[in-house]
Amino acid sequence: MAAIERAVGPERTASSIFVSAMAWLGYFFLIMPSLIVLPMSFGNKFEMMFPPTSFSTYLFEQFLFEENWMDATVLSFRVAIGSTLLALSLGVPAAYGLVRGNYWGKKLVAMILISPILVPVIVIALGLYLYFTSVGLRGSEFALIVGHAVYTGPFVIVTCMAGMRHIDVNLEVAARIMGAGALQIFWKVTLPLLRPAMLASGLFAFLMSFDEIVISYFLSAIGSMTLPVKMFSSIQWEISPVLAAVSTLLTLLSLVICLIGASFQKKSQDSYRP
Amino acid sequence: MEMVRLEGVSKRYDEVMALSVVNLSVEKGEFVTLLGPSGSGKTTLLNIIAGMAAPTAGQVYIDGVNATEIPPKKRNLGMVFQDYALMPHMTIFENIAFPLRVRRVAGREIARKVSEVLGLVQLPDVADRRPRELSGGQQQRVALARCLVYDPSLILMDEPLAALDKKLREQMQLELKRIHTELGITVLYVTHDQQEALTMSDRIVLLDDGRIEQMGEPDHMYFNPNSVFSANFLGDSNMMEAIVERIGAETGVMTSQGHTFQTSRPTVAEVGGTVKLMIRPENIRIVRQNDDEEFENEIDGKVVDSVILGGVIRHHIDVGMDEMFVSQELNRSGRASIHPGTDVVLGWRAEDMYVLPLQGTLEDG
Amino acid sequence: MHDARGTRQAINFVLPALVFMAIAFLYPLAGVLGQSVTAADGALTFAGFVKLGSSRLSRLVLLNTLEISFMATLFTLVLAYPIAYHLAKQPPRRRTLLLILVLLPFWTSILVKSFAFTVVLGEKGTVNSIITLLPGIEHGPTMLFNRTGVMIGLTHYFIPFMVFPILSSLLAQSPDLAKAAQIMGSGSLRIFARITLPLSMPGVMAGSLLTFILSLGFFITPALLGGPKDLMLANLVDFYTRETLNWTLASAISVVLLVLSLLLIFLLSRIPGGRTVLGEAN
Repeated sequence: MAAIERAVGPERTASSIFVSAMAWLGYFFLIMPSLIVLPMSFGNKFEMMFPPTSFSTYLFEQFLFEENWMDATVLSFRVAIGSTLLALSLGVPAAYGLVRGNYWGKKLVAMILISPILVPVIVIALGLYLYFTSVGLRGSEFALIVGHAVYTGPFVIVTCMAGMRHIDVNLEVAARIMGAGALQIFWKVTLPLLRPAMLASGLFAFLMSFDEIVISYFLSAIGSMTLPVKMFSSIQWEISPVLAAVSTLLTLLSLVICLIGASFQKKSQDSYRP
Repeated sequence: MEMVRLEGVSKRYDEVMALSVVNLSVEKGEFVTLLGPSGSGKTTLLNIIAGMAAPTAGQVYIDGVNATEIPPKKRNLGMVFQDYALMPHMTIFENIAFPLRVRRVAGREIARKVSEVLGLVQLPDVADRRPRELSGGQQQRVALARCLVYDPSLILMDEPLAALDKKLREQMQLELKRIHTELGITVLYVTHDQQEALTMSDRIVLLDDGRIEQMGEPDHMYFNPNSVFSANFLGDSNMMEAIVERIGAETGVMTSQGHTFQTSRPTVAEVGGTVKLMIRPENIRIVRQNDDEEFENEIDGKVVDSVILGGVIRHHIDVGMDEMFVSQELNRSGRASIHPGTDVVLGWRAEDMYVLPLQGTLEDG
Repeated sequence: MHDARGTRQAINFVLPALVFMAIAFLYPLAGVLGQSVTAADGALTFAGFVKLGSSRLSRLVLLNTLEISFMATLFTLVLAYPIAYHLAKQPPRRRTLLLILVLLPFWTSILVKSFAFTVVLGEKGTVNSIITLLPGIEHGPTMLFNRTGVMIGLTHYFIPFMVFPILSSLLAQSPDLAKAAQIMGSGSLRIFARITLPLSMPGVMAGSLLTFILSLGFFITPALLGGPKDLMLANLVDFYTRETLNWTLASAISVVLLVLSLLLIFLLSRIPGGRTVLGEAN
């Protein structure tokens, strides 16, 4: 893919400088929130401003030792791990069945599996709220795991479907000719090759679940708040400087997962074709 | 009258010398082809003339004016691209009208010029269509029309026919030539196809690895290559190494792998030196009983293969040397292909056997 | 696997996910639909929708939502286009690096971003601190808990969604087009206006429509950065669900939102470049 040709010679016209300036303004605007929270998180507890006037790790200590924050974080981790495992164990085979299968109603099945993406999150959240309330499970960790799996499942399926397309179908055909059954083929041939795509989608699904707010907000109860829900209520009701520390840690998490996930995604695109 | 002159032009990209010291002059109305393999620098050279790249050193003169610092849009050139570069969202009319609108030509004048130039490329009815509705050949003709409509002083063509299939390419070559002759416009044509260069050019500039290897009229380039590279690029050749035995007034005598050959007079060689000998397949004859022609060089061989290539036949012959000899004859009825294994005698004239330096060009030596 | 045996077995692979989605997604969704036409006593009624249509509050919120979404899409376009244009002009290596600047906020939690904005836009926040340094200015503009705050928050969120389709359609343009135009004598402004911009319209339309659709259902940003006049449909759903426990109304609003979104998504799938955008929205 080619870039727009840069004209040779002195084409640094006023308009091109203007465009560059607008672009850099845009980059700055995009990055600014992530950058601001970083130095703030090393300020002290009386400050709510940027730039902070002192350096301390007080806010991080408050985060670690104040029960509410750690409880929320632990819950978020558990739900993220649970929903990611659920999404992977449902989604990876589903991706396989969609790419390799050829049966009546395949398009319909694909539509149903991907459909949560087409529905506004608030509608999904309300549906789950009504449903879990009616079975008395609203506020339970189980409800959160299920809800997050609905949210991240389609993403896992689409990513793994893309990964599947890079796997040479002839490998499976060869295995079939050699007598292997469908489950064997899936387990021994496809899955190992799909690993990068699986890992990438798993990592991003984890992040999506960890940061998920709307469904969690509707499904949480006083005792069981995920980290985003706690942050939400904190920002709404009593802004605490601890939020800066939380933000820094979350941003770090995003960055780490992005970098690892991106490297896996690149691996899965490096063709497996001989 | 000179239209383009390049003085000492070179272009460096970081570590790579894309062009080294090019001196070139193009006359008004000439059709000059920049010929060479990929990476030879021909497209870089074209881009420098167009103004799309600035030379690292040297000057570019266009129509008498030093154009080195002038941006492309002010050079009043025309350019035809391999992928046509027609604006997909505009009609053919708007595509051709584009340069006229840039020059603020009046509406009525635009309409007149557009239909005039469409007539010239023999596409009078396509003005309201979109580029994607036309075939490749038609799109290229529209691209040409778009070039011609504003009477540029010079037209640059960057492998314009490379995307077309063979038959269409050959038709378009004649089309381009016809328009060139009719309008007397100066054309700089880039291609890697020697056939195309030989067909269309008034003059060929052969480039290799950023340098001009040789330039001249097609005939001259074909019959008087000045290097192994030129000989191989512009046609097929039988090539072998040889030692210089004797240099005579009209001919030379060389030995190669035990055989002695009479060659054309070498211009740069000394007795005892190593050279390369070249002879074109069409100049090697298979000596037959009823031939009354005398050949200075004759050699025995055995036919390995005979391939019919449409209008010509190619015989691959093992003469007991490292290199296989290729002889090419016209495929006339009565001249059938020869059975593999048949013993034959090959003959050729001394003046058809050229002496080339082992490395570099005759001019270097 | 095209033989009958393979076909049957392939179904087995999708079955678990299918069952899950049916139970955990389709059924609750049907529940919302059902709830929207069920009164508190269990009777079937369209009173919910009638109330929606007549209530001043819900009409206001609907108007708000459309207005905010439209304005947000516009502002996002203004900021995102130069970014996409700038990225398209970069050599591939540099472009990948700069894309990180676009992807990082994309993967950052919206709570983090909202928090940062409360710090920056507040009355004593960063921006105002800088502005009040200027002589003669005592108060900076109010940018939080009002329409401005919501706009800034939404625009920030949507820029990546707009950049990618526009970047796609810019990269798809052959560089020879601009080259040819230059040689024919055209200045860069004309090249942009007559060639680059028109050819990027599919990306612009797809990105704008996507942004608008996403904005309609937004909840967090109006809740955290907006004021009482900036309530959007999702906030209303929250209000009816948790405050007044009027689940019928909440469901009715959700149904309206769902229908609106689906219609627009259908529209998006029809325009050139729309389908790819839907894939990229993942």
